[in-house]
Amino acid sequence: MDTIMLARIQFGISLGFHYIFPQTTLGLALIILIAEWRYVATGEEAWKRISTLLSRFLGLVFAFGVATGLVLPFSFGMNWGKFSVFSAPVFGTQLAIEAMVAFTLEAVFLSIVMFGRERVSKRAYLASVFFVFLGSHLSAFFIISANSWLQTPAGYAIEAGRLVLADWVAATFNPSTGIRFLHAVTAAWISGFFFVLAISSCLIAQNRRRADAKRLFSLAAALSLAFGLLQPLLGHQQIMEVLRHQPVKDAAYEGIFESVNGAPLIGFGLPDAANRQIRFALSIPKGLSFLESGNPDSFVKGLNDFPVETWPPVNVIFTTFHIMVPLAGVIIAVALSALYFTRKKERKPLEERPIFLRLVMLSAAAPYLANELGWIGAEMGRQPWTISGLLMTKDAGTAAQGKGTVAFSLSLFALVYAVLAVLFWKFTTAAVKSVPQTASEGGDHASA
Amino acid sequence: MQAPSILQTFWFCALASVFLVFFLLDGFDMGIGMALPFFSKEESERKKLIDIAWPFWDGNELWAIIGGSCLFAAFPYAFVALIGGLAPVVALLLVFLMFRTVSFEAWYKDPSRRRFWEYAQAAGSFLLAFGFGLLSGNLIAGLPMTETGAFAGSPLSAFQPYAILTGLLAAAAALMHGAAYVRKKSAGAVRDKATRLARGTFPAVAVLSAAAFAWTAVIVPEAMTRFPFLLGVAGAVAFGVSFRVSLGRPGDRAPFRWSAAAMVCVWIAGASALFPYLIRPAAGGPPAAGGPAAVGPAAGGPGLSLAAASSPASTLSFLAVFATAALAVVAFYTVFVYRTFKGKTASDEAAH
Repeated sequence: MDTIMLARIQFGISLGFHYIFPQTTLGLALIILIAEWRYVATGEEAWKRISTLLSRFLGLVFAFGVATGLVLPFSFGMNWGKFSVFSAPVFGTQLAIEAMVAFTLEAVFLSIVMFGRERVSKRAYLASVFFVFLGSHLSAFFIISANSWLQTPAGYAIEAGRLVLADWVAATFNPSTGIRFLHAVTAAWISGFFFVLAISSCLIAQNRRRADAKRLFSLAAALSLAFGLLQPLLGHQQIMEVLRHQPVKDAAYEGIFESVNGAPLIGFGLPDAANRQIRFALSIPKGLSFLESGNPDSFVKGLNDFPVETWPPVNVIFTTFHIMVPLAGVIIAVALSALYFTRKKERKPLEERPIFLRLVMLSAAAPYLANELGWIGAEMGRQPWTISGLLMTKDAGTAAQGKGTVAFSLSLFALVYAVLAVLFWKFTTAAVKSVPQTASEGGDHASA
Repeated sequence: MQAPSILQTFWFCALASVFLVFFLLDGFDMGIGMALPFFSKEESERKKLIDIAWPFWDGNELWAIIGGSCLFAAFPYAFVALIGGLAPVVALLLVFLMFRTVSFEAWYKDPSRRRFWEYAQAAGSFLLAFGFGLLSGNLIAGLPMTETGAFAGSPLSAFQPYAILTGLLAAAAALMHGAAYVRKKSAGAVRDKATRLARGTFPAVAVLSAAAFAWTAVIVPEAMTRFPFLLGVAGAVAFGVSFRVSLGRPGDRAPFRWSAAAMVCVWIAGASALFPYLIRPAAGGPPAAGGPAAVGPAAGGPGLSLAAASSPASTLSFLAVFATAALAVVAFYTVFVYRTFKGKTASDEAAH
C-alpha cells in the first residue's frame, strides 16, 4: 500500500467519523428551533422543556463535531500538500469563509442556547437558537460548495501553472452546489430526526418525561416522513446532475457497461468490474433510460465507452449506491409506522409497544448509513481525480511525506476515534438517564 | 528576497491578530485546564473552575480554526511546510485538542472518573499551550526549507532550544492568564486561590519572557532596530509590572486586563521579529535525515518569505475584504455574548 492510499484511508476515516456529528446537528437544530418557536408563540411550557432537553444533546453532539472536525483542515496540510498549495486560492478561501461566517455564528450563539436561557429575554433566546440553526446550515452550505467545486470546478483560471480565483460567485455556486446542498442537507435532517426519534423512544420506554417525549416523537416522525418522501425526488435530481457533469461516475453508479438504447435500471446485483458485468442483476428493462429522459428507448452511454483509466472504483460505488437507495424505503416505512402508532384513534399507547420502540431505536442507524454510503459514493466516484479534470489524486500528496509518518497519524487517529465513539455512546446514554422519571417528578417539572 | 506586497503584509498582520486573539481567549481556558486538578482539594471549587471556562471554550477554540483556514487560503506554502513538515507533532496536538474538547462534557457525564478527566484536561491544556508556543517559536528560530518553499527538515526539527523556551513561556503565560480570569469571574476562597496562583506564576513568566526577548535579539539582531519590537518589549515590561501590582489591589478585573495587555505586547514583539518572513531561515547545519538531500539547502535554506508563501493577489484581496467585514461582525456578537455572561459566574449556572 502506498503513501497516497494510506493518506486516503486516513482522510476517509476522519471525514466519515466526523460526519456522524454534523448530520445530527443539522436536524437537531431544526427541531429545537421548531420547539422554541412553538414555545414563544404558544407559551406552552412543554415546548420549553423539549427545547432545553434537546439542547443538552446538541451541546454534546456539537462538542464531538468540533473535536473531530478540527482534524480536517489540518489533514489537508499534513498529507495533501500539493493539493493544498494548488487549490488554496479557491478551495482554501471557501474553508476560511466557512470558519469566519458560519462556524463562529454557531459556536458563539451555542453558549447562549446552552447556558444563557435565564440571562436573555424569550425572544433573544429564540434568536440565538435561530443563529445556531443558521450557522450550522451556512457551514453545511460552504463545505458542500467547496466539495462541489472539487466535483465540478468553476470560477477559476490557470495563470502560469497556478490556480487563480477568477469569479467567487461562480466558484461558490458551481454547477453541482445547489442540488448537492439540498440532497445532503435533507439527508442530514433525516438523520437528526431519527436521532430524536431514538432518544424519545428511549424516554417513552423508560417512562422519563413521557408526555413530552411523545410530543417530540410525533413531531420527529412527521418530519421524517415529509422529508423521507421528498428525498427520492431530490436524489433523482442529484443523479441527473451527475449524469450531466460526471457521466463516468453515473455509469458506475448504475452499473451500465455497454452503451445501449433502452438501458435497464438495475435494482440489485454483484458488480464485477474486472469482467465488465453485474452478476445476478435484478433489473427493470428500459428503466434507466426512462428515468433519465422520460423515453424508455433513449441512449445511455456505458463504461466501456470511457477509457478504463478514467473509471472510478466501479465495484465500490455501485455497491454503496445500491445499498443507499433501498435505505430510503426503510426510512419511509419506519416514519409511516411511527406516525400510525401515534394516531389519536390508536387505542394502545406507545409505551405498551416496547418491541416497536426498540425497532425505532435500531432503525436510527439507517439514515446514518445512507449518509455515509452516499458520501463514499460521491467521493470515490470522483476518482481518479481530486479536483475533476484539474488534479489527479496520485499527484495531490505531500512531496516528502514518508509512509511511516502517515501510518503513524492514521493509527493514532483511528485509535482516538474508537475511544471517542465509546465516549459518545456513554455520554448520550448518560444524558438520557439523567432525564427524570415521570412519576417521581410529579408532573414534569422543568429542571435545568 | 522579494519584498512583500501590501496585501501580503495585511494578511501577515491579520493572521498574527487572529492567532493572538486565539491565545488571549483560549489561553485562559488552557490556563484553567492546567490548574484544574491541582487547584483545590474541594471538588466544589474545581467544579467552579469548569463552570467558569465551559461556556466559552467553543467560541474561543474557533479562532484556531479561523487562523488555520486563513493560513491555508492566504499562505498555502507556509501551511503545508508547517503542518505537513511537522505532521506527527501536529497530529499529537490535534489529539490533545480533541480530548480537551470532550473532557468538560466528560467531567459531568462520567462522575466516577472525574480525577482522570481533570488530569486529561490538565495534560491536554499544558501540551496545547506549549505546542502553540513551540510552533510560534519555530517560525522565528527558522526551519530548514528548500529553495522551492518545501520543508526539508524532520519533525524533530521543531524541538530546538529557542522554540522549547517559547513553548514554556506560552504555557506559563496561559497559566497566569487563566488564574487572572478565574479571579475576575469568582469570589471568596476560589478568588483567593486564583490570586495566589497568579502571584506564584508571575516570576516564571517574567524570567521566561526576559530570556525570550534576549534570545530573539541574538538570533534576529535587526529586531533591535525595529520600533514595534522595542515597543512590544517596553509594553510587556510596563504591563507586567502593572499586573503584579494589581494582584494586591482590591479590583478583580484589572489583573486579567493587564495580563492580556502584556501578552499583546509580547506577541507584537515576536511578530515584528518574524516579519517579512513566515518561517525565518534556519541557522546553519545540513538538512536533517529523510529530507530530499539532493535539492535540500546547504545550510538551513532560505526560510519562507511572505512573498514566496502567498496565494495569488486576487485571492488575498477578495479574502481581505471578506474577512474584514466578517470578523467585524464576529467581534460584535462575541462581545455581545461575553456581556451576556458578564460578572461573577454563579454556581450551578451551567446546564449539564
